[in-house]
Parts: sequence; C-alpha cells; structure tokens
Amino acid sequence: MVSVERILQLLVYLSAIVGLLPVLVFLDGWVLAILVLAFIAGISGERQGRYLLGDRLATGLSIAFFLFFLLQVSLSNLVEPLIQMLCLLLAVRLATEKSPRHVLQLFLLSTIVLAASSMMTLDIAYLLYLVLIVLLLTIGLVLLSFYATEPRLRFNRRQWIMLLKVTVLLPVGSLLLMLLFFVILPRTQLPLWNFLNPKPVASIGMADQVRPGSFAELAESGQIAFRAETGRLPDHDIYWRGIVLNRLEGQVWKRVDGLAEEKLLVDPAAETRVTIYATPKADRYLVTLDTPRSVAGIKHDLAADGVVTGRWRDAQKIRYQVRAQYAARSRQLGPIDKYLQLPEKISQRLQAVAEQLVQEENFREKIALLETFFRQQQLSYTNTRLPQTDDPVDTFLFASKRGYCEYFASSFALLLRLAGVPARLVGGYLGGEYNHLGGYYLVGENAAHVWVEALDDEGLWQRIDPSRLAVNAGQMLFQPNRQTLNSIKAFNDALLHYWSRVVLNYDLRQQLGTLHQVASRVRDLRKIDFRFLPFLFWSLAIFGVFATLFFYRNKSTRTVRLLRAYRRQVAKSCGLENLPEKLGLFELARLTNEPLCHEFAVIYGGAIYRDRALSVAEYRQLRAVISRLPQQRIAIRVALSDALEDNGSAGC
Amino acid sequence: MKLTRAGILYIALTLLLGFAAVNTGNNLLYLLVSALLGFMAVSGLLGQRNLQQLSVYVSPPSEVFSGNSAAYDVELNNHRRWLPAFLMRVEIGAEGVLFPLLAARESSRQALLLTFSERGFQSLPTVRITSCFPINFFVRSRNLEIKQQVLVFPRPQIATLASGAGDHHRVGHDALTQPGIDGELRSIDNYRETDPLKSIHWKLSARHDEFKVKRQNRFAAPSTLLDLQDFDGPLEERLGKCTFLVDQLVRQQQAVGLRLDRQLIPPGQGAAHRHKLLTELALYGQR
Repeated sequence: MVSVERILQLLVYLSAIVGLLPVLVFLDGWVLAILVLAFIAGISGERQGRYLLGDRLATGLSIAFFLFFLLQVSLSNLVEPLIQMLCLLLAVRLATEKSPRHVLQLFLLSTIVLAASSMMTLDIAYLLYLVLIVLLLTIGLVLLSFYATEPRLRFNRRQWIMLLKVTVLLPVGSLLLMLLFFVILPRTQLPLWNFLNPKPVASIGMADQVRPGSFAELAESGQIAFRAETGRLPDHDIYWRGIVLNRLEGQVWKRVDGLAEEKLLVDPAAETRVTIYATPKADRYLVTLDTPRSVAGIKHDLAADGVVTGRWRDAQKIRYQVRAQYAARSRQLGPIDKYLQLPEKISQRLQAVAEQLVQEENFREKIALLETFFRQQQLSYTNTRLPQTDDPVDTFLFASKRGYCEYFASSFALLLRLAGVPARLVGGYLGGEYNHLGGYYLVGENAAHVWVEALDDEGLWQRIDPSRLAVNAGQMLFQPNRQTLNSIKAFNDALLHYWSRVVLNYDLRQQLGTLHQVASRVRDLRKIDFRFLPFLFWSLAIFGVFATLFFYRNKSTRTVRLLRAYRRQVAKSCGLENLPEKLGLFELARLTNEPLCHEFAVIYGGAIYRDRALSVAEYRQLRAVISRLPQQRIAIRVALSDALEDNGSAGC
Repeated sequence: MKLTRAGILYIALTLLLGFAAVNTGNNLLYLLVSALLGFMAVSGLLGQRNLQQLSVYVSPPSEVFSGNSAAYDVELNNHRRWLPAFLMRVEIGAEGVLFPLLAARESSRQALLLTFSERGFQSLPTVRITSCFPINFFVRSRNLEIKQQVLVFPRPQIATLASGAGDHHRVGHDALTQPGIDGELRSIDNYRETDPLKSIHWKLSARHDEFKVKRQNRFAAPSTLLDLQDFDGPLEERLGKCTFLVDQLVRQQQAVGLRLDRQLIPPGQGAAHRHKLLTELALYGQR
C-alpha cells in the first residue's frame, strides 16, 4: 500500500525540476544556491515532519523577494528579474509543508517558470520540458484531488494501476488537443508586448563588400545560413544569390545604387519555387535562388540586378517564398558604363593580360582565353596561409597563386573590365546539403561564395564561376557542398527545421492560410467524383452492417442477454433445443424444482419486476447461477421433462 | 457543477498566459496555453463521464426511530464496462460517504448514519452523488431519483409504568398454552434430536421402546395493555413513552397490548407483534 501523499510529493519535486531546467543557465549563483537549499530543506522536512519555514516566515520571505524584484525591474530589464523572482517563490514553497494549497501553488509556479523560460530561449528542448510538465502536472493534479479529499488515502498495486490507466488519458488527451488549440487560438499581426520575447540576434551574413587579401585565414563557421525548401535541383545550378557588387574602389568591390533596368528572360522549364527559412541578418539582404523573379511572404524590394532587400521588425525567424529561375539570363536594358569602371591603380602584369584579351573578337573568345589563362596559372583554392599584400589580385595571379573565391572572382572580373567586358561580382552561397527527409537544402555559412556575372555581346548577363578554374576546385569547392546528409544528421536537422517552421514561425498569416486550406478542402468534398461512387457505396454498406450490429448489441441490454443465457442453459440442461417462450421464470423454477432456478427467479424477478436495474452484486450472483447450472444437468432434465409431460408440452 | 478556488486559480493562470501569448506572439507560450486548455477540456469530459452509469441503493436498518441516528447501508454500483469511478461521494441529505475508487462493473457498500426528526413514513432525502475527479477545480454532482420511504417509529421517551397506568392482568389462554420449559405439563411426545436431554421422561421411556419427553407450557407472562390516553404531555411525547414501554416490555417477554383511541390491539409477544405496535404508534394520526 503506497500513500497518495508520497507519490504526490515526488511529482511536486519532479515538476519543480522540469520547470527550472530551462531557466537554470539564466539564474544568478545565489538564486541557484537558494533553490538547492530549498530542495534539501523540503525533502528533509518531509522525512522529519518538521519544516524549516513556517507559514508566516514563508509569506514574509515571498513578500521580500517580490519587493527585491520590484527594485530590480525596469522596462528594458523585465524578464530576467521576473524569472529570478518566480524561482525564489518556488524555493520558498519547496521548503514549506506540502499542504494541498501549497502543492497546487508549486505545480502552478513550475508551469509559470517554464512559461517564462520561453521569453529567454526558443530552443526545441522546450517541447520536451512542456511534455514532461504536462505529464507531471496532470497526474499530480489528479492525485491532489484525492489528497485534498482524504489526505490519508492509500492504494494497493491494483488500485494504483486502475487509477493510472485512467489518469494517463489526461496528459495524452491534453497534448493531442494542444495541437488543435495551437492552430486555432487567435493571433495578432503585431504583438504589443514583443519586447518581452527573446531578443533577435542578427548575424553578420554576407559581406557587403569584397576585399581579397583582407584575411590571412578564413575561419570556418559551422553556422547555418538558411534552409530552402524545394525539390532537388541540378547540382551545377545551385547558386544562392545575395548581393551584387558593381563598383571597384581600389581593391574593394562595393555596391552602389541607381542601376539601369534589366529584364529576365523567362524560361518556364527552369522555373522553380523555393521557400526559404532564415535567421534575420543585419544587412537585410535576402538570399534567393539565382535568379529570382518574384518574392512573397515578406515585405521587400527587388532591385533590377536581382538583389532582394527585406523589411521586417524584430523577428526571430523569417520565411519567404521565392519564384526563381535557375541558369537564367537577364538582359541589360540601360547604360553599361558603371560595369566597366576601373580602379586607378592596376598592375602592369594585369594590364598585359588584359591587352591580350582585348585582341579577341567576341565575348566567347575573350572568356575562353581568360579561362585558359587561369588554368595555365595553376591557381589553387585555399582558405589558409594567404599572403597579405597591397595588390592581392596581382599577387594571387602571379606570385602566390593561392586564394579563395573572392580572389578568383575579383581578378576575373577585373580582367574582364580591363578587356572591355562589363562585369560584376555576385555574393551568395554555393550548393548545400540536401535533406531528403525534410525536402530542403541546408546551407551553412561555410558555403558563402562569390562569382562573376559578365555581359555578353547580346547584352545578356552570363554567370561565370572562376573558382571552378582552380586546380583543386572539385576537391575543395564542390565536393563538401554536394553531400547528402547522413540519416541521423538529416533527422536531427529536419526536426530543428520543423520546430522552427511549424512552431516558431506559425503566425497570423499561416493561421489564415491553414483556415483557407481547410475551407477549400471542405469545398472540394462537395464535388462528387463518380469514379469513387462504388468505393463509397461499399464503404457505406460495410459501415452500415457494423453499425447495425453495434446498435443491436447495445439494444439487447445486459439484463436481456443474461436472461437469454439462462434460458439457453436451462434448455441445454434438460436436453431441449429451447424453452417455450411463454414459460415464465417462476413457473420454470417450480417445474424444475431446482434451487438454482429458484434463486435465479427470485433475484432476477426481484429487480426487474420492481422496475429497477440489477445491481452489480446481483448480476454476479446470476452469472454464478448460470455457470453452476450445467452441474445440475440430470436433476433438471428429469424434473422438467416430467413436469412438461404432465402439462402436455411436446418436445421433452 | 461548482467551481472551486483552485479552479478559479487555474482559469486565472490560463487566461493570464493566454493574454501574454496573444500580446507577445510567442508561440511557445501558445503551446503551453493550448496544453492547459486541452487539459481543461479532457478533464471536463472525464469528470462528466465519471458521474454516469452509476446507481445507488440505500438499505435502511430494520428499525428506525425518529431523532436517533441509524446506520443505512449505501451501495454504489458502477455499471460502466471499462471506466472505474473515482472519488465518488454519496450524499443523503446533509450526510455523505466517500467511495475513493470503484472498479468498473463492481459495487461497494458503506454505512451512513442518518437521522429522521419526524415519525411515520418518511421519504429518503435526495440522494446526490458528487465528485471532484479528475481535478479539484470543479465539483460535479448528480441527483438520483430514489423514491424510497422509510417507516420511522416515534422517538422513545423514557417512561415508567406507574401502578395506575396500563391495564395489568395475568391471563390469557393463549399465553398459558404457549410452549415453554417452566409451566405445566402440556403433552408427552417422542424424543427428537433437538430436545434437551433433561426433558426426557425416564419413567415413561422405560415403559416404551423409545424415549419419551415431557412437553411443558410456559408460565403465563404478565400482560399489559397500554393506553395512549393514560400518559401525560403532548402527543409526540406520549407516543414516545408508549414506544419506549412497548420496546421494554417486549424485551422482558411480557405480553403488551395497545389502545389507541377506539382501536385496540390485544396483548401479544414476539418481534412481529412488537413491530405491529410500533408501526401503529408511528402512523398514529397520519392515516
């Protein structure tokens, strides 16, 4: 026999731990120490029956902690002091006696602390804590009902199992309904208390200028740049466009506004739709699949050269849809002189190469010659041990012959401009790891890339990736980005992606979209497809049969079934196929002269003829009578047969 | 359904978190609020189901005297196929008894002390089953229609049989011929297994092939006829005194009769006669 009180105390401590876990890292050391002491004091209090804190002292401490919170709090610093105060209140209650009222307060405080943690972190671990707290809270509150009604209740093993079987319905049902309520609960477009949410951390993102040679080492970053939901794309065409740099100042490529119009050549076969999930960047450039035709789902500006800048308020995550066309070309409609602009100082060796290029007749030949030059130079792609000089492009092409994408793209574009070919740099990302489980590309910051766009003789911008000309391009540049995620990593990442997509990003827009989808599905149901009519007919027929059986079974109540079983058994005992319909219970008992039949008649008649339901005990007694009847077979048969013969009944 | 203080607290917390969720747009708060609402819905359904398909039978004790509490046998039956009944409190009038846990298709009995203040046929107060299961936020209840009447005898009032009161006399043929062990010889009979050995008439037995026993009458018990008019005080007090004396005299194995206005119940003995007298006293003036 285990007492309800003991299990309840255990649940209280567990729920306090679960509530505190997500906020532990945000608590001050002294608050943590108080919490540990409170746990120790509470548990030892339970064992010894004496508590460290009496009711008055506990109330006094709670008030003191609240005042302390008021002194610390400000509009800009609200959440952390609030969480500290809630934890201290929890500590006070943990150290006091666990009366029903205090137990309820402890459960609710644990829940509030967990709720408050959502203002500090949006980690997926919250879901685990939420499931645990729902489990502990629901079962705990049920036990609290028992405890509040009768504090000394104790149950045996069978009773505990019986109770838990039903109680477990509560957390399961609550979590299932949670999904429904989460979708339908009203949301606002612009939350008024947004300042309480975790502060968005804007990452640096793509460089808004390219300056080869500014870093001796390019640090590897494991950060995720974005996820892009789309079908699998041709590997060589996965370029994610971010920023276009059109002006070269010294050694630095920059972006200037006031661009001439361009027109994208539409190719429906190459069109694809991509939904991008990203964390907001400080520069506000939105990455799109190269080349974007339109963007939806976020306020934005789409520049003539395909650069998209977004407009959003403080947000943890952003999501937008891109209609893009891979391997696309756009036509330059305005003046091109901006794309021929050159820096003042250019090395002699570069000018010499450019002079060779100028002699070529057309764009294709110039490109071919330039590519040949790059290959001849035996340039290798690397991120480490890069020389830092005043003229990094010259050093790269003629001395060190080592560099990363910025070196390749800068030198290629500069040589094109020197050769009279309009050119610009495009910054973005290359490739990505495709997650088959989630159906999206995972693109890390490591995949950041710069390539070149050059204007051909027909006035069309062509994408050229000079990094491909490196001697080790296949090994260094493309291989890491084309891998498919292994299954465990893919599962983990898909989980994080869906957490972000389904939970963190669910907003008014998605809610309306869901409602619209449901409404359209319902509308679609009205359209009858005659091909499905036979299927529908048979489904209804099978359902009808089961429904009739169910209805019949329910209609013939337990009492009727019992009587039927009894009559069947009596008939069997006296060798009859069935008993005469008009033979009443008491008459049957008289005829058989069998005590069991008398017992049945008295109990059954006592309830039914007095218009009341059989009690459970009576029902069991009658069942026992029926089960004992086969043992009385001969006695009944003789008695009933004789009696029925006397009455002139046939069949005996 | 009655909302408890704990329930108010829970609803207030849910509303507060809901308000915070709407105003911050924090989806993690939305998740928590959704779970709390889901919990409320499921517990509501479970609580409602907990009160269904139950029946209560109340078996009164064999004798009930007004003003005196008596133990009633309360039987709770759970007719559900799967779902046990939890924290069921069966209330009859102001009194109640708790059934913490009752498995499906089982029944349980508990005693409940009830007191009736009036005599005569009294209807059982409303039987009500209440439960705060699954969570102590709402107390749900259901009234059961139990049209059961209990015969309540008058409240016994201590009384002594004064010399003038009652009509004392020794008699009665019936009384004298009743079998006993201390009266005159009644008959000689064959010995039966149930007869005490001391009843064997050895002399007679010696003359016959089988044992013979003496059957005796009992001494004639004093017979008392109680008249309601012989007692002082208000009617209920007089009825109470008569009730007390009927009970006492029958216990002393005396024959007791009763005169109620024009109605005369001749003296008699035994439980059935006692019950008859008490019934007459209980229903006096109520027919």
